[in-house]
Amino acid sequence: MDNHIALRQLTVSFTTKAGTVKAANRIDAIFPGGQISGIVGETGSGKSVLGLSVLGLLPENRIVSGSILYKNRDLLQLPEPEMNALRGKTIAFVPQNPDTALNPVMTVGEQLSEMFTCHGKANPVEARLRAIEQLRRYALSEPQTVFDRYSFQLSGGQRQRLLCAMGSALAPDWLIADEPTKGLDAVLRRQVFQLFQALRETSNLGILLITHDLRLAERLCDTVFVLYAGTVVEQGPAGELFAGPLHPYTQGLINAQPHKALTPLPGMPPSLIDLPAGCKFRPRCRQRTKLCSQEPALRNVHGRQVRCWQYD
Amino acid sequence: MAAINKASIVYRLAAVILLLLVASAVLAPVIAPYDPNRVMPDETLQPCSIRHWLGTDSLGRDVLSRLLYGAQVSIGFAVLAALCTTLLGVSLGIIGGYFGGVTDLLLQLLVNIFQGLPGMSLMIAIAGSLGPGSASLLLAVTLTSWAGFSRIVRGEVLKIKEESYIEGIRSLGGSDAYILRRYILPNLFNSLIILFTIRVGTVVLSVASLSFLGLGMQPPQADWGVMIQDAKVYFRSYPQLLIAPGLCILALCGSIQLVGDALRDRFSIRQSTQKQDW
Amino acid sequence: METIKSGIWFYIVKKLALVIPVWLGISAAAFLLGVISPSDPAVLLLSMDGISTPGAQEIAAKRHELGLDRPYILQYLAWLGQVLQGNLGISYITQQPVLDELLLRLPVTVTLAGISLLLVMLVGIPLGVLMAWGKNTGSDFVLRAAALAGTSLPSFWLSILMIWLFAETLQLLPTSGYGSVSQLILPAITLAAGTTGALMRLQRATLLEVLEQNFIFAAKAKGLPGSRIIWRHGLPNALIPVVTLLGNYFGGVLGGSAVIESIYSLPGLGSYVLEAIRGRDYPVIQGYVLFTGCVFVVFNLLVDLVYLGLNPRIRLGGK
Repeated sequence: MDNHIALRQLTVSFTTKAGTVKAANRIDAIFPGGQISGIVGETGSGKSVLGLSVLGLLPENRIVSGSILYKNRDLLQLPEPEMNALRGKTIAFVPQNPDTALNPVMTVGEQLSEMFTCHGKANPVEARLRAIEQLRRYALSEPQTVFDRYSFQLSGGQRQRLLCAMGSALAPDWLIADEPTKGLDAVLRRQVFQLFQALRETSNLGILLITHDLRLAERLCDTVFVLYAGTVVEQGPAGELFAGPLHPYTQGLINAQPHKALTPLPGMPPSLIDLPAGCKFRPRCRQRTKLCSQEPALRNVHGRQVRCWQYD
Repeated sequence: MAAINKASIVYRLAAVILLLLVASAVLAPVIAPYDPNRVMPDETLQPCSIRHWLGTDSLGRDVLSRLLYGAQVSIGFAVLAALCTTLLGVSLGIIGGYFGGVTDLLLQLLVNIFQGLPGMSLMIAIAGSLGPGSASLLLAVTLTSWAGFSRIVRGEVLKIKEESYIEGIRSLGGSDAYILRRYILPNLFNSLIILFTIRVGTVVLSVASLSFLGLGMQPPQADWGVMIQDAKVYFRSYPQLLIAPGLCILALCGSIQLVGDALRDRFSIRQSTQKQDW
Repeated sequence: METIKSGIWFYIVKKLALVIPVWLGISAAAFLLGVISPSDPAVLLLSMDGISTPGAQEIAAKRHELGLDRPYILQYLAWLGQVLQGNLGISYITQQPVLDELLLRLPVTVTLAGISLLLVMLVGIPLGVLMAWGKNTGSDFVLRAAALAGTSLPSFWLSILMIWLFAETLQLLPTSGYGSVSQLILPAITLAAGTTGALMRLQRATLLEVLEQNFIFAAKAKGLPGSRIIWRHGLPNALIPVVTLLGNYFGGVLGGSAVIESIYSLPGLGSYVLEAIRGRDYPVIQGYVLFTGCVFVVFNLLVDLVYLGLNPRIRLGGK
């Protein structure tokens, strides 16, 4: 069951009028199959970019190098038709912003059943039945009625559940969830958490959870990757990482939470166009030393990997 | 990147053509070789020659001169008509949008009524009833197009009014006149430029049609529409009589539209639902 | 179910309620045309035979007979009363009821406009979609140039060329007259050219904007084929401005057809009013404005109904 996704020296930049945005810098990571891996960081850390790269969904102004290996194939080298065959079927995506991720003039049911019909898995009649079944499975009450509704007639929670239903409709190997709790209130956040938990229990799909919601990552993920300014600064098993964070940034992130010390991190994340030399976190780090003018490498520490001179 | 450059070459070319046309219109009295209405009975229906670069028409009038003066007539009138439409549309749009209330409702009703009138039909009818000529044309064009303008302007004013900083200025004691002058008008300016430019193009075509029908500019006034009407009989043997004014209209309207597009690209704010955050 | 019904009814009632003031406005405009005309109807009627020059007393008497010395409001109301009974006046020239002739000629203009509208839709929408899909490729530029030419060329100029090319030189189609479908092809094409160009550009721009939206991105992430994303997800969201344009077009074509009808000698509404203008036949001009105004209003209502179909939010009373 070797479904793992491996990023090798993945570098993603975007050419813009203001300059080149270096969103991801030589990232190495392995997301084990059948587990929930979390990519955690602030807005602008480049975490969404990783998810989009896997599925070839980056915008036109991208510059990509490195490789993304899945089942012995480099996804970055796949021709578009083959990549499109993977999308939704083998590796599925749950997009941000459920409010805008649904077609406003198409019924919800059709948007779900087209997963079946367009991937050649069913004819329209079967597709409708399978779609209704999927709606039921995702706790959308009265699925027959919901099928003919439009997205503006659904609540926020329903929309989120619908997006998850669409993502898992074809029982993919992987589900990439992009900021599933962004902008949601506590009640909805809890619903999302339960959704993903149920997913993990009922299937062995791998989930790539991209989020800035640390509590969600803590309770859901097996492995966590902490991203800062396009680089992985710490990665490891979730429980240990959250209990005893090693990298100053991770420590700062955790301490900034309301239920912890509520001490914010000083300063701002750097512009991805003008990245500072050396360790990217140095300007904001309280523990910096002279060594930090050089970029540290990723080191193994207590079963985790950290990019900090303290542990070198 | 290459695509952007290709497009901007086209836009620049259009701007140059437009400037050339406007320049010819303004400088017509200076650069036209002959009086456009000067009839030369010995030189009727001449082909292109050194004396007459584009030949002469059935009355012996120099085609090139008529084209140049025609530019003056077409562009001049179109700009004038567009200005009137803009003034009327903008003032009513601002009054309705800014002050709201009963005034706005009444004005909206008026707009609906005027927009319910089929444009070309009314223009023909007005020009026909009042008698042809620039005055009735002006009235016809303004009456049929101010409503659309006003509607768009009102929409923009409403959008600007909603901005929270307007509230702030008012609470600091800013008067209506001040707000209008310093905030509303400048923000409208960009949209107005675009609308104005497009309107000039539309008017040129409408007036050409009306002139062709004999309801607009009257012969012997040199107008491109009139020239095409005159050429209808002779063009089979003297194609330049038909091609030249037609190409002029094409060049004028085409360049106006492209320039309008370029302005729109530069100035307008697209409102698309944000796709992704990084 | 309740919400659906009340949503639709509310929408329809709102649209209908607007019709009345608009129609009154049109009637006022039509009436005013008679008022502003420089000629005195009494003088016109009295000198219809082309010989007699009426004296001042005769004119005054005729004016009184026609009710022209009453205040304008009363004249308007009287005229309105007549109109509501179906009397749009008598043509000065033919001495026949204006309404009869208008009704006789309506089918010609409507058929012409209808064929033209079909052409615009069937050519404009797909080409616009293709331009958006192949954004900035060679075909996109070529089509954009063609669209630009369409909107910048005067229809009458195009007509002359097309008649020369297809009717005289190639002998493919008849030059003029009305009676068979083939006689309507050239006029319809000429009439459609300008708006097809405008539609193509509008469709392209609107579709491109729609394709930027999040739900299109989500559809792509679902692995749907590109054609489905463009035609089934993109286009339905990009049609509303296009429908507005088509609605305005049809209304405009009622008047704009005058040029085409005159060139191709088609006995429609447009050529009728042109003849009337030449003959100073004011009742016809007034009747024309009123009549085309009504047709325009009715057509706009139909367009509003089409919106119902396109935008489920309106149907279902959503925000």
